[in-house]
Amino acid sequence: MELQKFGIKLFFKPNGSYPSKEFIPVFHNWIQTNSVPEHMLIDVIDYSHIIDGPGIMLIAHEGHFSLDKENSMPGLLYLRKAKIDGDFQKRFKSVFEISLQAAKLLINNEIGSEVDFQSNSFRFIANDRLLAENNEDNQELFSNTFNKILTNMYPNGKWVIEDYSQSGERLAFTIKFQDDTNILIN
Amino acid sequence: MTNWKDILKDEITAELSEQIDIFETQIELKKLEKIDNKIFAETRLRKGVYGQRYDNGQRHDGEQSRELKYPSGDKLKGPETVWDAPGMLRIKIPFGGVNPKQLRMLADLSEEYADAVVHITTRQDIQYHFVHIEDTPTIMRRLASVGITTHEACGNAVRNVTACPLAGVCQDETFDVSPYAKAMAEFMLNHPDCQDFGRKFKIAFSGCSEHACGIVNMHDLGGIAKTRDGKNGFEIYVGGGLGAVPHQAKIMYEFLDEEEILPLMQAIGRVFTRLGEKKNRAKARVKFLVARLGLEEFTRLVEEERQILPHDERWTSYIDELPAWGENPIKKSSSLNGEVKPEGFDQWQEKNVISQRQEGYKVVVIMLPLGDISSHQTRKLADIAEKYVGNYIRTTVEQNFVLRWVSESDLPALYEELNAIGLADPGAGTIVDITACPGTDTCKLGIASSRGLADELRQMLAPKQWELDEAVRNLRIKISGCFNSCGQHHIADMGFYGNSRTFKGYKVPHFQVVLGGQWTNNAGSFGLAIGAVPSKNIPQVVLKLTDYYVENRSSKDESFQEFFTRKKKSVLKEQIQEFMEVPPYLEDSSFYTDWGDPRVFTLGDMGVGECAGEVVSLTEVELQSAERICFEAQVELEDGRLDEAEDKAYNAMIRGASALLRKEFQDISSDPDEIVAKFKQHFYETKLFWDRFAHGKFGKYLLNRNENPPTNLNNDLVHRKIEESQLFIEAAHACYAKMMDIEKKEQS
Repeated sequence: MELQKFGIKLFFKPNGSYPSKEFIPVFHNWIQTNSVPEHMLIDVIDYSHIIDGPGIMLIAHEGHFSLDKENSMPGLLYLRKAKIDGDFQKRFKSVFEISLQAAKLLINNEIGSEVDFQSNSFRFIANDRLLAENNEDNQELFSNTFNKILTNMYPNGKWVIEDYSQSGERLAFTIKFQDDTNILIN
Repeated sequence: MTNWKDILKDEITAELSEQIDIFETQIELKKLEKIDNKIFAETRLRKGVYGQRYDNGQRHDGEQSRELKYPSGDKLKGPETVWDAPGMLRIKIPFGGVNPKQLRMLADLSEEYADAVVHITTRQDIQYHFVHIEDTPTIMRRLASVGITTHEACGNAVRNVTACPLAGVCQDETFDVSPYAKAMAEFMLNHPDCQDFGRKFKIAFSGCSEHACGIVNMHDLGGIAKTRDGKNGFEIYVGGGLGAVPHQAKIMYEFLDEEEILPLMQAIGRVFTRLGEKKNRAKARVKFLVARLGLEEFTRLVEEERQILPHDERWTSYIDELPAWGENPIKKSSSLNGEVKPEGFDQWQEKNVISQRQEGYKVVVIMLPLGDISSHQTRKLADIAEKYVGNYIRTTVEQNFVLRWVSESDLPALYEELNAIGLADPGAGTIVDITACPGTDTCKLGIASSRGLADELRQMLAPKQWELDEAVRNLRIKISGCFNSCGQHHIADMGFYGNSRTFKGYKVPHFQVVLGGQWTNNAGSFGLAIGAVPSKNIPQVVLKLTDYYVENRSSKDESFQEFFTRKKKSVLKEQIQEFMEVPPYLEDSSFYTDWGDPRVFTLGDMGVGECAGEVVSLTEVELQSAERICFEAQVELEDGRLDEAEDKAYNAMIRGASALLRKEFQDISSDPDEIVAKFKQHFYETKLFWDRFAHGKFGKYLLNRNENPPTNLNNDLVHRKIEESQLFIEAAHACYAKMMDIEKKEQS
């Protein structure tokens, strides 16, 4: 599997306060303090005026972080752009780890604003229609691949893969754990 | 097949395919350092591949200026432009026409290569931001597969050809200008006679002279639809433009046969290539050539060139196809009759729905905040458009979309579907529908946050829009991040452009307030600046000026523009005077940051202790004095005293130059010639006064005026001289800030 450009979205807890403009200084602070390892952080862009959009974005050379609101599923989205060496499992683990690090940074924000993530689910988004067209074959291929990766990462976990993206959208699906697996403290 | 080039090879025209292949090769050659930086920069600009803020590898993070260490290291894609730095891609949308298939592609590409946002510009283009240069050939191929090009979207070329988004369905138009705009765009694309311009060239078409949809007056070449003896033609305008110093276009022909518009542009292209300025970018637009030659001589040269043009079938071939041109609605016309209206529908319908001249059909305006729409919304909009109107979608110069040919009875259902994806904000074309250029968000030239201010004003005004006086509600606000006017601030009821002022040694973001501009009559008049206000006070200025207008207009029929043209500039300035003050940092530090950006301007330079200082330098006082004199020049112009106005505009520059000299020398002569000579020696020739992008342009305003005082003054000329004076003073402020920075660095 050659896919390099993909992302992970960690959902905010429903009914929790959705982080928006107040997190602009937080992202700026990440830039000042080089808070995200192995990332060259560039700038912060405010797209909070788009109801169904990327919200507040932290632009980095390696990938973008955003307080994404798409499809009424708010969450922290990390979309990787730069290549990572190794097989897909290694690449996925790297991107997943970066997403979790960013989530922890967001939780421990210096402005004291409460951010709470759903600990039992995340969304995978393939961001390359050439290598991962959204069709049934690829949905099956990626499901199988993820079942193997997750078995390796969470040997005792139980999960389902659901909520495949609609036709026309990027290939995406949600992995939901059905036990007490907490992805935030792996 | 594992690359888009192979997959799409049968779906791209041979010409576009070849252009993209060439560009891809040029990228590879540049990577091997086999192309000069300047040449590659112009090459990529012509492909729509533009630079973006911080692409020089430097960024001030609020505490210090830091190097952005891109993996590409020293490799550049243009002068001072780092290879790996993200850039902007501009996509041409001739006359704003776009279909659902194209929308879906635009959505997909924004996700895969940009930041998942599709941005509509003030010239009906679309822009992506944060794009890597090495992705651009693939983006171009995928766009080309749906009939879209980025070719000549930037650079010294014929840019996107714009037209009224209502063309073909408008109640007031003489005829549909769309096919003419399309033909012009296709004819000029890559035309050999237009490849050696000294500067860009913008063309617009409008169906009528009363309304502003085409804003023909501010274009290099514009055509307003006219008929004569039953034959279609155009009133032709030439030499208009906004930019730092706006020029009203001049009427070149009161009527030109439709067969002649393409050869006319070709002939203009040849004259512009041959005689247009090439070295000094600041004087290279065709408006300067028209001004230099005079309209009569310019026209004579163009006509001479026209006579010797070799015949081209394409000049008229599209005219033969005009009878077949037209749009075929996918729904039958119908009227809204008893349908259940969803909540919010009436308010939305009031301003966002326009009746077509075809009975039973409506145009629906989709108001996009700051011209932005997410990839997800764009894809959904494509579905909605396909369902209700088919292919008939257009972008607008007010950074919106319109859906044409909506059957009236579909309006409630359409509203609900748009509302479900956040695209049914009411108030299109009103005070909440604010135009803003990218400004400091992404533009290299941005001084202040035009988008941040626009968002703030939108949030302030939207909830109260229904309570506003109707005339106030119908006002237009346009904001540019700098004097270059991409936000078209000159033609707004209330325009603002970003600048900065140095207050007690520290920079504070400001906006110049520009009043008196006219959006109607195809941008019939340009506004003038009345004073610079700290960015954080602009919302209060908007409220103050609108209240002042409502309370003091002569009658409800007096428009905002008429009111502010009638009122003395000095009286207007009094209204905003209280908002021009900057509080000390310790009293209110928010003034030292811009909207939506918590970074304090030059925080690292500032130091809290120093901020409390009350020392105001003589230079600052004199620069304020220069601003005052420039303002007085406007008052003189308003009263028709052209000589006095021009003289004061010059004196304001002299005072500005004197202010800077005082920073360096104790004894300053009061003789203007000596001041200019010393300014030239110490500020102009040393390039200390130079703007990073405009270079010596603003300093030249003073030198030229000193050497060649203008004669035969007229209103337009004096208006321009005052604009030049204002820009000189802006540059003097910037120069002073630069000197302070240098001084502090030396001290530390």
